[in-house]
Amino acid sequence: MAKFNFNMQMQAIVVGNLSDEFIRHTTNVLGNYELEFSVCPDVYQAVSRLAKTNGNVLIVGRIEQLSRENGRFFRIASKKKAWCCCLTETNSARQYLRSLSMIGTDAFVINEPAEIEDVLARLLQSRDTSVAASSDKPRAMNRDIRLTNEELGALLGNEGTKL
Amino acid sequence: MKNIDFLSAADKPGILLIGDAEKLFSDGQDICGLGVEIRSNILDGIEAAASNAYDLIAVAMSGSSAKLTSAIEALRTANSGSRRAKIILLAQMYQEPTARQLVGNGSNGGGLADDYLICPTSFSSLVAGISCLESRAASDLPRRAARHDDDVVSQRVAGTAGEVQDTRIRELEKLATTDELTGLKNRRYIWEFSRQIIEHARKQPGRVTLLIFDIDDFKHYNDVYGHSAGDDILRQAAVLMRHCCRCHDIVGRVGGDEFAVIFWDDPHRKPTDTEAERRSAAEHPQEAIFIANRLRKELSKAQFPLLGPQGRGILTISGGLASFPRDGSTVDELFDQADKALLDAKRSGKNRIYLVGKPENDIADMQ
Repeated sequence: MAKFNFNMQMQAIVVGNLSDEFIRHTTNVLGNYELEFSVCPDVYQAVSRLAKTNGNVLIVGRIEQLSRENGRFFRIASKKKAWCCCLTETNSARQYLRSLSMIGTDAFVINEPAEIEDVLARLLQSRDTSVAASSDKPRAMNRDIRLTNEELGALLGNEGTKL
Repeated sequence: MKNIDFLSAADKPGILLIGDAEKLFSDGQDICGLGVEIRSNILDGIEAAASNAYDLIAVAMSGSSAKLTSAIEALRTANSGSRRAKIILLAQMYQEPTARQLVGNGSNGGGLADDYLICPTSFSSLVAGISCLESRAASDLPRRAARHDDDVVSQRVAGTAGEVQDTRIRELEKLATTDELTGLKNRRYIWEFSRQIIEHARKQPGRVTLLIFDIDDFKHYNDVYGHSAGDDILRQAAVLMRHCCRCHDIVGRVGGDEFAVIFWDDPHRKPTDTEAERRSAAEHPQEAIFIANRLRKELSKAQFPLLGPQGRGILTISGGLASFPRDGSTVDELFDQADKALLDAKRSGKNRIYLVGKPENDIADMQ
């Protein structure tokens, strides 16, 4: 998992269109935290931006956008030691599992736009406590979908655990 | 290939290839030692373009036109430093309309991509493309300030030479794929296009329908009215066919008086989503039937002056329609099946187009 570089400011790359309420909300929150951010319309521009950015980078976007190109974006973000935060607006455990499977590791998964504040708070707190998101599993910020793979497997049967 | 082998490392162009070299190039297996960087995924390619300087970025086209536009815009952004790479699209035949659009349109009037090549091609063609583009760029907008008049002259000469070479390559490509008499695509093109579009339709839901037809009693007209009249019939039939088909349909002459049309999904339209939709479309190629009927109607009204006063509405055609995957899963199978339906149509009295598997069921009765 990416560790916070204390010598550098955090920057954010928001992936999506400003006509999307989640993207607008995210940019407002980032503005409130006085964080530097840029908005990229899609993952292609986001990769271009990410490749030219160093330091602590948080990438925020909807799962549908960030998982394009078979989830390749997450691997590039992981290589660049960037944090990803994906919004997945689904209460379906099956879809949630699929999202987790695609993301792999090192990502925050939220299912409400407002939870972006929790993610930011957690990341910025980690700057002070040196415990920047150290789990090797994706983090679900919402209690309703915070289930283990085993629990989901039990819910979905064998199919669930294969995802 | 050899033409860059002997170059020193400093002279070799920096090339980034985004795609599968072995599928794109006939000599794809040999490019590994040439310092070409290869990325299989477009996102990895954009990342590489942002981190390194290249002379040329070759991108295998995949996905929708909108996706490609976004991806190439991002490549341009990634490569916006001092050394602006040329972007060449590597297109399958069926992607040519989209490639042409991406090269022709775009911001600043220059197009998003600099050029495109139709695959499979050779790696040396790609390398040759760099010098053409360089020369063209030098003549259009010299990037280096010329110190003397001589420099200006030499740049213009280089530009002209590059343009001539570029034009000649395009002319040769056209000659190799066009039927000289009618201006339609030739058999070789039709065959290769069919192969590629079937391969594409196998991977992604898509509809492909092949119509093969010939002009009834063409030999008779040729013998009675002479070869020039025969040629005139073929040319007029070709014009009518182009007029009746949609602009993305591929129309060709595959034999003496035998023509083929490949009906396929509009590349600029959202593809059909489900396998079920593809199957149902393949079973009922309504658009193809409609167009084939339109062709027959137009032909029945056409005037052929060289055939004398009876030249209006005298010509008829017989044909066969075969659809992928219902009637065949390969080019050979599809052509065989369409040919058989054509023969059935001839045996049944001509002036009809049969669907494969539905003998004695003229498509004229289906509308």
